Amino acid sequence: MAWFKAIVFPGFLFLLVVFLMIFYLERKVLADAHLRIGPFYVGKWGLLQTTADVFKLLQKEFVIQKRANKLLFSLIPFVAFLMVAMLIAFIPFSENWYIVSTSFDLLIILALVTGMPPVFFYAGWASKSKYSFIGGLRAVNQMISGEIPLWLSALAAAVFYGTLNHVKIVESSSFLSFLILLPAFLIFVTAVLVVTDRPPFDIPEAEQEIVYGFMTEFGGFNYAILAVAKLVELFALFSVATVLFLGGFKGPILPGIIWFFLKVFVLYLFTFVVRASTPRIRMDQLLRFCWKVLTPLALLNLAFVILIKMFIS
Amino acid sequence: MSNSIALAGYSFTVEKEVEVSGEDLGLLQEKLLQLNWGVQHPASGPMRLKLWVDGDEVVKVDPDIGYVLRLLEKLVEYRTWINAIVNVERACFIDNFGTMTGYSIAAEKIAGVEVPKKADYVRTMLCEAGRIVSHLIGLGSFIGVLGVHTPMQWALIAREKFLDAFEVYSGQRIATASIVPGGVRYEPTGKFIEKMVHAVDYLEREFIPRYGEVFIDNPTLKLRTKGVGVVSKEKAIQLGLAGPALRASGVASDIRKDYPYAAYGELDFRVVTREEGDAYARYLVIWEELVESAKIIRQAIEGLPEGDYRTKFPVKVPEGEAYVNVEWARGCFGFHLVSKGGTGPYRLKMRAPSFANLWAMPEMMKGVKLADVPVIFASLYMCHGDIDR
Amino acid sequence: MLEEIKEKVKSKFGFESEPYDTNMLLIHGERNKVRSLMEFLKENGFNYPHTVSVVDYTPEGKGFQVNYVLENVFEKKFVIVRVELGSEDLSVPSVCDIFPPLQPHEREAWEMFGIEFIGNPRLEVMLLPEWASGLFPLRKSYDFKKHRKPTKEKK
Repeated sequence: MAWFKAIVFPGFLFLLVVFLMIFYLERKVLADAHLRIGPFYVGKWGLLQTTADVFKLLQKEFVIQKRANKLLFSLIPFVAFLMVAMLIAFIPFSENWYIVSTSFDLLIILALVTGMPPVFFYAGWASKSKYSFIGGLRAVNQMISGEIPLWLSALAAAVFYGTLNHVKIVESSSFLSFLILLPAFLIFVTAVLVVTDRPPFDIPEAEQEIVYGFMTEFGGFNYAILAVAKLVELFALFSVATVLFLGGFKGPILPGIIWFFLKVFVLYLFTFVVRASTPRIRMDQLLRFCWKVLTPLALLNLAFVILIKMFIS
Repeated sequence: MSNSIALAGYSFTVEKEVEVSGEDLGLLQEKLLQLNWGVQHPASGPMRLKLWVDGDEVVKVDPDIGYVLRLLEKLVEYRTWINAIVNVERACFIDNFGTMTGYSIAAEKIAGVEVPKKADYVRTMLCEAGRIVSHLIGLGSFIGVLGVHTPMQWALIAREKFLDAFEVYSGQRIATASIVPGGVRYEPTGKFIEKMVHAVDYLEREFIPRYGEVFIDNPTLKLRTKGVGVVSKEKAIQLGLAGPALRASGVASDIRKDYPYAAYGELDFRVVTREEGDAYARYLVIWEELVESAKIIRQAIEGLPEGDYRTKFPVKVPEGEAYVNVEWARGCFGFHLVSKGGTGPYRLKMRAPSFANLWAMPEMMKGVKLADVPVIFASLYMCHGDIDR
Repeated sequence: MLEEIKEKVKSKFGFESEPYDTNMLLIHGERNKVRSLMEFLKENGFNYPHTVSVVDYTPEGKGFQVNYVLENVFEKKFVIVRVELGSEDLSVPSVCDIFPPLQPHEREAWEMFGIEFIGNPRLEVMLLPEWASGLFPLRKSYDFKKHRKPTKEKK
C-alpha cells in the first residue's frame, strides 16, 4: 500500500498527470488572455499537447557543452528533481492520501526549499556559460531574499496552530484561522512567486537579458527534468499554502481531494493572470521590495500572530 | 564549390581556439565581462550588441550591425523608376508605405509630375495605416522585452484587420508595392474603404480601450520604465535621435506638420510630444500617435476626392536631384535621389531614422543596469531592416 | 532666414549657395573650409545633422560629391553643404567632433565609397563583412557581376 501511494496515487504517476494538466491549463488560460485559442489539435481540446511536448523533449539529443563540467552538468537536474520530489511526500491531499506524515512536515519542506538556490547556482556554474553563470548568481540572490519572508510567514501559521504536522494543521483550521492568517497568506504567496521565480519575478531566467538564465545550456531530457523540478517546487509550495492558510482538503459536499486541487488551482490561476499582465521587475527593485517591504511586514505579522496566540491559549 | 568567397580571392583568418576555464568567465575577478547581446538572442533581432558589463552595470556598448544588409541603395541603381519601389519598400516592410511615398515624391519632383489629389489622399491613408501597423508592433515588442507577451498578441490581432485592408487593396498583405511615382497603383475601391473603416473601428473601439486599461497605467510597467534612459531636449538633438524618441524628449519635430507632403497639409492632427524623455515617455508617444493616426485615416476617407488616382510617369526622367523627407513610422526618412536622365535612378541615398537612433544608443546605455538594456533598446523603436538597408 | 544664412556664408566664406527646394539651401562648399563652415552653421542653429550622402560622378569625368544634410529643428529649415572632390584625392576633414551623430554616417560613407574622413576615429567596416573591407560597393566602378556567387553546378 505504501508503494502504491508513492508510485501511483497520490505519488509519482498521479502527479505527472497533474503537472501536465496544470501546464495545459496555464497555456489555455494564457491563450485566453491573449485572445488566442491555445493548444487545440492534439487530443480532445488539445489535452494531450503537453504530453506530446514532453515526449518531444525526451527524444532530443543529450547535449553537453564542451567546456561544461560534465559530471555536475548531467547530475544537477536529477539532484534538483530529487530534492523537490521529496517535498511531495509530506503533502496531505486528503485525510488518508498522503505518503508520509511526521511531526516536522513543515520544517522539512522549508529546509528543502532553502536547499534549492545552491542547486540552481551549480546548474549555472557547471554550464560554463556567461548567461548561465549570471542566471545562477541572480537565482541565488533572489531566492535567498525571498526565503526569509517565506519562512517568517510560514512560521506565523506554525505558531498559530502550535504544530508542524500538516494533517493536524488542516484538522484544526477554521474560518477564523483563515482570517487571522490572511496577511501571512498574502506574504507567503508573494514570497513563493519570488522563490520559484515566477513572473513578475522571473529575473534569473529573464530571456530578454540573459537568454534563459541557468537553464540556457540545458536541452532535451536534462532540460525537461530541470523544468519539471521547478514546476514541482511551485506546486509543492502552493500545496503548503493551501494546507497552512486555506484549510487544505476541508470543504463541504465534494471529497477532500477535489477541494484540495480546487484551492491549488485558484492559486495557480492567480499566477497565470499575473503572468499575462505584469512586466518583469529589475533585480535591485526586487531586492528592495524583499528586504524593505516583505521581510518587515512578515516580521510584524509574526508578532501579530504571536499576540493573538497569547490571548487564544 | 566548397567556398565561393575563397574562390573569389578572399581569405579568412580563423581565430585560434582558446580554452576558456571557469576563471575566465570574469565577474568574480576585477575584469569586465563581455556579453554578446545578439545575434541569436530572444530580444535582439538580427544584430549584436557587444556589452561590457561590470557586475550588473553596463560600462560600454558597441553595436555590431550588418546582418541583414541588402545594399538596397546599389540595387536601386539597376532598376527603372517604377521598379525601384520594390527595393525601397524593403527598407523595412512593417511600414512600407512611408518609404515608397518618400521615394515617389522625390522622383516626381525631379520629373516635374503633378500627382492627382486622390492619389495624395490614398497615400496619406495608406501611410497612416502603415504607421498604425508599425506602432502596434512597437507597443507589443516594448512590453515583450519585459516578459509579457499579451500586448503583442492583442496588437497582432488589431494589425490583422489592417493587413486585410491592404490585401483587398493590393493583393498583398505586407510588401504591397502599391505607391508608385505618379500616384498610387490601384483604385481605392469601396470594399477597401469598408475594410479600412472596419480596421480603424476595431482599433478605436476594441483595442485602444482594452489595451489602455491594462498596459498604459500599469504600475509595474511604470516602475520599470520611468526614469530609464532619460534624454533631455538638448541631449536628444545632440545625439541625433529621430522620430518618436525625439518627440518624447520635447522636440516637436514631425515632417508631416513641418513640411507637409501628400495630403497632410489639409488634415487636422496634432504632433504628440512628451517632456520627460525616458523610456516610458517614448512608449506613450507611440501610444498616443496611434489615436492621431486613426483620426487622420478617418479624415482622409471623408475627404477622398473624385478623379484619377494615377498620372503617367515618364520612362526617362530629366537630369536633376531632390532631397525629400517623409515622416515614417520610426522617424524622419530622407531620400537623396539623383537622376542622370536615364530610365532609372542614378543614386539613391536613404537616411534611416533607426540608424540614427542606434548610434545614439551607446551613449544612452552608459552606466545603466543590464536589465535596462532591452528596455532602452526597445524604447528607441528601431527596425533592423532599416538600420542595415 | 535662409536668405540671411546665404548672405552670411557668401560674405564670410565666399561660398555660392542656391535655394534647393522650398525649405532648403544648397551651399557649395570647399574641402578645406568645410569644418569652419560647419561650426558656423552649428552656431546659427543648424544643430540637427541628418546624414552624409555621397554621389559618385566618376563616369561623368568628375569626382565624388559629399553632401552634408543639416536641419534646424526649431525653425524647420534645411541646409545641404556640398563638397566636390576630385577623383584622385578622396579625403575630407571629418566633422564628427562638431556633429557627433555624423560619425557613423561618415563611417558608412567610407565603407561604401572609400572616402577618407580625416580625423574620424573609427573608419572600419560596419555593414559589410570583414572580408569585404576595401571593396567600396556603392562606387560606380564596382562590378557586382564579378563578385556574384557562382551558381551551383548541376550534376
